[in-house]
This record gives sequence, structure tokens and C-alpha cells, in this order.
Amino acid sequence: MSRPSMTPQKRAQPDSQSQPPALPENERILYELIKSRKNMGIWTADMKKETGLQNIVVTKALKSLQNKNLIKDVVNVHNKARKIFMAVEFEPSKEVSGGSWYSEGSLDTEFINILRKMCLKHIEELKVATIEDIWKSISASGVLKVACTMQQVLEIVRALALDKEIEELKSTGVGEFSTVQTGKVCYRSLRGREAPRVGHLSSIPCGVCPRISECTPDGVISPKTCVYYNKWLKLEF
Amino acid sequence: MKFLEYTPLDSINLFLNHLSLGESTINGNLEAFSCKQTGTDRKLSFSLEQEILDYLEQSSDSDSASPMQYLTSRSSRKTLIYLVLTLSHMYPDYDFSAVRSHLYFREEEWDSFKQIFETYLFEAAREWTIVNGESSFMDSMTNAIDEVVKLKDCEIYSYNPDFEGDLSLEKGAIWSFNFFFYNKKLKRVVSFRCCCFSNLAAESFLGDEMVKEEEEEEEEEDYLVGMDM
Repeated sequence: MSRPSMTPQKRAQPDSQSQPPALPENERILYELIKSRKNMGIWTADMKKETGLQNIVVTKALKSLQNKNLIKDVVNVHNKARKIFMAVEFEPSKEVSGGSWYSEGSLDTEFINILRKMCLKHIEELKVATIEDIWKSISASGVLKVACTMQQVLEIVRALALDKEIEELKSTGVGEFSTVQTGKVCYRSLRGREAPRVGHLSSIPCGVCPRISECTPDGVISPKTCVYYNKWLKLEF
Repeated sequence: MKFLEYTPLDSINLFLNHLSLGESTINGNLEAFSCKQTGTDRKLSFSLEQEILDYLEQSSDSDSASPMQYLTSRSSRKTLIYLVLTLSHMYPDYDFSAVRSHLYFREEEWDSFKQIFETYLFEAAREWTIVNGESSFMDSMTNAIDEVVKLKDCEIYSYNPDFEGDLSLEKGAIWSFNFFFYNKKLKRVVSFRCCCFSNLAAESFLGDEMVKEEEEEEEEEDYLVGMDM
């Protein structure tokens, strides 16, 4: 006599349609609540507020649910000390786990620094590059043990631009930019290059002076007595 | 850590529970615990001890002048673990790390506690004397704690978490402090925590709500004005 064997899928994963084993009332209430919060999870204090259950009752129920492998505790990087629980079938959302830059609840600074150096190096080699170019170049070099996504490269490159190590430009399609389609966003190293020039008028005190409308050659406020010019020409120490 | 009931503490807690002082409200709580451990306590204290020992192993190469050197003594570790277990009972919705908590604990003298008490609870003490006649708040509290833990045999600690770890700041407290009185012989801990909230901040929120309601009422009245009644 042979029974048809159960397909592997049915055994391996908890079928969301199947009934969970019958739970005592309190555990059921808490389990439904935790499950309803999906991949965000819920803090024990909020559980108590929403169910009105007492601390001892909740603690006992949570312990039991954990032993039955129905819920797990997770760390929220924004409030690391809080006790947060989630149903086992969910993976913590980016908000909770910190996303790709966090490993085990803390910022993976080593990984970030390595990626930063690599992006800089590849941008300098390519002279002018788009995000795709940079990402392809890094992936092709095979240096990284862990694959990095284009999204990660984008975030790192944007940070580098804000740190003024590279500049973000729109391609003109000519000259240096001939490799890049006109109008597309690309990046260029700022090493050995001056920062983008600001308008000429804003680089002298008059251009940004708050008193310019009151300034006349023989008034109380005049170019002759201007304190901003003195400072700018370093006549005052 | 088993929570202990003590009536002398109750009267003080009743007074300090939502003590309104005009612009601010004070919330204070005295809690007594025996170091007798429950099953969950035992599990937690084991993992805390492990955490400390692992940390000591890792930092054994660095210079011995770090504050962690105190934890090489078993008795110091035990004290820290009792204090962290007490914190876990006081704040059941939070996890506490032994290594991090160790940085937040500071050994205190009776005088430094007295100074903090007299500075922050000055107004509260005045209220107490108005309500309770002759007795000074400081004396009443000292006597109450003494009944539980014999203050002269106690080690005193203050808990001063940084901004991230301060749980009362989360709720918006203006100031807070937390003292622990630990009697090793009696194996008991008394915790005294106190924080202060601004009434004005709470009021302005309620005020906005009331203005909205008034505006809604006025609109209804306008509809009636133009009608032929």
C-alpha cells in the first residue's frame, strides 16, 4: 500500500492557507497582531497598549510563541534597545534593518569605505562615467567578494558628490563627454581640479551684501568704510 | 529579581505619582527588588555574563586603564548583572546590554545623591511639607529606603544613559535621574527614578484641539443666521 508522497513545497514552507496549531486565547490575539504588522514588526509596549493585556501575560505568551517558532525578535536600527517582534515568515523591512548598509544592526563602515574608494578609482580611470559605467566597471573588476547593486553605487556616488570629491554633470555629448549620451547624468573626478566656479558677482562682497541698497560713496555705509571688504582683503585680522 | 511590596515606599510613590507643580509635573517611583532570580532572570544573567566575558577577552590586549578592568572581578560583574536585571524589570519593553549599561552606571556617595535630590526636588519637598506638616521630604524618603535596604551598608549607583539610551527622554521629559541602592548582604536593590514633564507642552496640544472645535461650532451657527425663522 503506497500513499502519494507529499510534494516538497508543502512540507518545506508554512502554507499561509493552513491553520496554525490551535493557540490559547492570549497567544492567538498577540500572534494575529504581530502577523498584521508584517515586515515592520511591533514593539512590546505597543502590543500591550493595543491589546490591553498585562505585562506578565504578554511576556509569557511571547515566550511560548517564540518556542513554537511562530515569531522572532528583531532589532530596529533606529531604536536598538526596544524589544520588537515579527512573524517568522517576514524579513525585516529596510526601515527596520537599516537596509543594505547595515550589517547586524550597525553601519557597515568598512564596506562603505571600500566601495567609496572603488567608485573614486573607477571614475578617475574612466574620466567621465555614468552610474551604469561605474557599476559595470566595478563588477567586472571582480575585486568585491560581495556583489554590489547599482542602487548602492548610486548612493555612494551621490555621497561622494556631496563631499566634493567628484562632480555631477549633464553630458554635453561633445569633447570629454563624447562617450556619454547628451543630457545624461554623469560624474567626473574633482581631484586636481578646482571646484565648480560660482558666478563672478557672488565672489566679491558686494554681490552678497545685505546692505547694498543703502551703500553710497559718502554715506555711513560706503565702499570706503566697508567692513566686508576689509575682511575679504584680509586687512583685518 | 523579585519585586517587593513595602508600604512606606507606597506613600512616597503616591505623592510622586503625577505631582503637578504648576508648569511642570513630576513622576517619581521607588521600587524594591530582591536579588532572587526567576527562570527568565537566570537565562538573562547567563547571557549578560557571557557578553561581559567575551568583551573582556576581546579587549584584553588594550591598556588596563579602561573602566572595564573592574569587571574582571566576579563580584563587580555580579553587581552589574543585578543592576541590569533590575533595569529589565523596570523597563520590560527594552533590552539592555551589559557592556553598554556599564558605561552608564556611576558609583555615587550619599552626598551626591542628596545634592541631586535637593536641587531637583526642591519644589516637591515644599509641597510635601505643606501636605504632611513637620516631616521633611528628604527625611521621609531616607527612612523609607532605610527600612528596605539599610542605607549605611549600601552601594549607591546612578544610571546616566546617553541621549540614545535615555528612555524618559523618549517620552519628552525635561530632566530625569535614576539611583540604585544596592545592599550586597541583604541581597536587595532599591531603585529611585524620577523625571519631569512640562505642562505647557501638553497644554498647547490640547489648546489647538479646543480652538478647532470652537471654529466648527461657529460655522454651524452662521448657517442659521440667514434663515427666516
